[in-house]
Amino acid sequence: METTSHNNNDNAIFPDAAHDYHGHPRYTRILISLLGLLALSLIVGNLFSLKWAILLIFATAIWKTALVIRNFMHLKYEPLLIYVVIAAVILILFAFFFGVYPDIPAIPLDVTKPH
Amino acid sequence: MDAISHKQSFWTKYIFSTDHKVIGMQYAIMGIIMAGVGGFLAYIFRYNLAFPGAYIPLFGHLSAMQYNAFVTCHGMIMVFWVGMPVLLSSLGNLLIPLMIGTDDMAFPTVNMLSFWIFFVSALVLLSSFFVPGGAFGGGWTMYPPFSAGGYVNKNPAFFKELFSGTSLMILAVALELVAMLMGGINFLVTTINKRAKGMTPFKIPIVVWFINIASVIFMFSVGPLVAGAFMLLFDNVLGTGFYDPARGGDPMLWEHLFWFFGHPEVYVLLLPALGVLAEVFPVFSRKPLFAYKPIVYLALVSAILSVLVWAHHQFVAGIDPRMATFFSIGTILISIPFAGIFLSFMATLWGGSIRFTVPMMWALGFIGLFLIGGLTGLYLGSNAFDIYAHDTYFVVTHFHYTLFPDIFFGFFAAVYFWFPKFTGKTLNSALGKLHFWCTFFFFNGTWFVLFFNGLAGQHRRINDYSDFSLIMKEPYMSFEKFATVCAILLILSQFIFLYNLFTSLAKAKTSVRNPWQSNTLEWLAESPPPHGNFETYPEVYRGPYDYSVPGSTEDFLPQNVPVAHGEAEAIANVQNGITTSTNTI
Amino acid sequence: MSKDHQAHLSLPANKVPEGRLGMWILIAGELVIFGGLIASYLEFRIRYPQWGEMAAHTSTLIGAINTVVLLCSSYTIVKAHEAAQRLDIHKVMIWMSCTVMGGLIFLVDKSIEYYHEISEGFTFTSPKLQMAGDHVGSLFWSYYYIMTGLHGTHVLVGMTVMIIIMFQIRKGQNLHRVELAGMYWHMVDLIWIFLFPLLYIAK
Repeated sequence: METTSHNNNDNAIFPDAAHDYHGHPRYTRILISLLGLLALSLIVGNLFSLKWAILLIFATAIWKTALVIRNFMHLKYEPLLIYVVIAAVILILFAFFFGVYPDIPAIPLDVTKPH
Repeated sequence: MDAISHKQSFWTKYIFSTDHKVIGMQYAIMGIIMAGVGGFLAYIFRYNLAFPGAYIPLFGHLSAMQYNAFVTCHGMIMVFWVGMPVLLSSLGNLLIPLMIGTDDMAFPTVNMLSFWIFFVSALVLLSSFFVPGGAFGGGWTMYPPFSAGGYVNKNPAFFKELFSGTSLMILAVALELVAMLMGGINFLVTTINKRAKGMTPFKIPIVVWFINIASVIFMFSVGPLVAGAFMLLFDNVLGTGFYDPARGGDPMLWEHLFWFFGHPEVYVLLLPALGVLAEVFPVFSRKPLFAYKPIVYLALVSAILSVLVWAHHQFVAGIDPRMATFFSIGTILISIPFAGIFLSFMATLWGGSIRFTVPMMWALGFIGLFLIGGLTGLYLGSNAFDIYAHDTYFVVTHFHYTLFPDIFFGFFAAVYFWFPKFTGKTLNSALGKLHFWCTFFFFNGTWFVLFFNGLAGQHRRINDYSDFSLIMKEPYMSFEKFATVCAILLILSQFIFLYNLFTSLAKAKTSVRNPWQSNTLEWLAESPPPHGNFETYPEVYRGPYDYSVPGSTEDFLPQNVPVAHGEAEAIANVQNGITTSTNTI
Repeated sequence: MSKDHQAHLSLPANKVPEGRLGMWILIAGELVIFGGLIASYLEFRIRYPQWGEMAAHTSTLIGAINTVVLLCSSYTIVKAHEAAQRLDIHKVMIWMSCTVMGGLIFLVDKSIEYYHEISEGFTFTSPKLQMAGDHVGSLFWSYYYIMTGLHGTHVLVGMTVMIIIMFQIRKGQNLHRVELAGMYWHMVDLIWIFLFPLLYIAK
């Protein structure tokens, strides 16, 4: 009686370096970029006008996120399905945020003030 | 990995089993028990609605507070502790590994844990009936400020509040959601990675597709509610003001967080049952499933739309009216993919060689009743009509005409269909037909009349209508009594099923492998399948719905039958009207 | 896109090892939970520009130090994964210990910061603010504590899981779990990368 399951996936237990499909990007360089972006966002926070500051700070946050997720989490080596999963997360959160937007941010404070 | 040869004690074999079949049955049993609780609660408050203030047999007098608590808990239990375990967890666990031809789930221990977390969540919910103040009574939707104690006490006593009905209900739901999340991960990874050789994505049976799509919808939409539930819990036990307008919070935020999940949740409940129908119809019409690939695409479209329509539950709550237009359009659009799926089911039946077995009857009953529910949903999805109908019995009847066929007819179709496989025994079909007809008639008797009450303006969640002169007259009072009598008979009809179940289980095994002559892989295994499922793991050559294929001697071709030489040509010949000596129809 | 990357983009989905696939899905689920919380916070942040005054009371210095700590600990855990693939158990233990230390430093920093904020009267409910007539400021702090508290809980869970895995690695078992624990840790880091500007810099 065959005891092991018929399985397309040989990497199930331990993808060792020779057989795993993902390589190792230059982690040290990535770390330096991340720390550099952090320094940039701190400087921007103190210098620029509010609108530009917010824009640049969130742009650096998004760039840092992309660096971590692509390199440390090896997303750049994963198949399309994983990209779709991450994209779906972002789209769902956008749908929630913009669906709620007219009911909370768009209502000025005075309406909620107790009389 | 010799998962089969290790010796199993009673505890690891039946209680803390990691075998997907045992876990699937554990979920089904819990779901049936909780359905009994939910049904009993419904009996109590329906009796009170028909005979206000009367002494209720098997219970006593019902106070207004208890009425609210029972209505709330009936809803909560039926959605989270009956619908989810029975349709998603139980069917997913029982069917997925067998139908894709593998030995077990990808993460068996996580699977076992998920059931026991679910079990604990049920205990937490039931315990909320027995704490001071009783169970929460503010509707299964748990809207603040009521669900946060009205924000009267801004310095709550932590432990007293933690063990109040409200907090226990929030904790129970949170635990249940965690259990379902764990299950969902298991289903997805198993279906993606552990399929039999040759089972390409479009050879996967529809029920497996739909359970996975339902898991995806669930996992993506539940996040904001978990966040919101934490906030509501802290409002209750710590005195924060997340939903308190006096402190800058907003109750509308809770409504959005709740319904952002609450609406996709109904499709999470619907898709597995539609999947069951997609398995039952081809087998009992001896015809391939019509438009297999479009059905999959339609389900994916509906999944995407399902997260964009949630505020149709909030049309009169004070949302921006311009958003109401957007959500109204989306709600009406979402009927299209489901209509497409229904039409495909009807096309599957059309011209088929129909076998009126018990599972087929449940499936057909589902179609008829869900159609009524779905059509009334179109009315409610139009924001103008909803201004009148919101919170009336029209809404309650709408969702019972959708949820009851979904959960009960879908589950019973699955039970009567797969019972021979998982037990090796057969359910008595005469009793099964009696069970079906009683359920069908008494369900309609209970609910159809209440449409009229709803249109007359009778509001829901009200214990005592004696001040509502428009309702306290004929025919609405008679309708209430008629509905209650039918509801009691509906609940009693389920005992026919229980009797059938126990007496059939007591009989000897017949162990027929494929009594319905079905194509899918689970029918290749023994009845019941042993630990590890298959003696030799099948290889797949064809899709799951090759029934009445021209040129073949049998009217069904299981998925592991290799494609015969010349089969494609034989089919093409028949389609082109060419008859040769080798064509047999 | 490098040729290396393109080849893998065509990899069929069922070639992703089960543990990794499961972890990606878990991460997606957790991101939606935090995303819901962050989106709710953002809705109110836009409604109440005066929350900027409240945000001024968070310590940007400690926040920045914590960001550096978490980024470096993400680096150390991925180096541990690289070592695990080389089957170099000694190095794995060293890198993982550094990661756990990073988590510990984060939690200690956070506690110091919480202590300062609580002693100034900014608590979950901030009754002092209520009494001073500020009707919306206390909500900022409720969000601050729930977001950083939930995040801190995940840091603690991540550290605990890593310690358990380290016991298994010592015996040479389950080396693939280093990568999985690492992915969870990166998710925790990612959430902080967003929390930091939202609560600390945007004033």
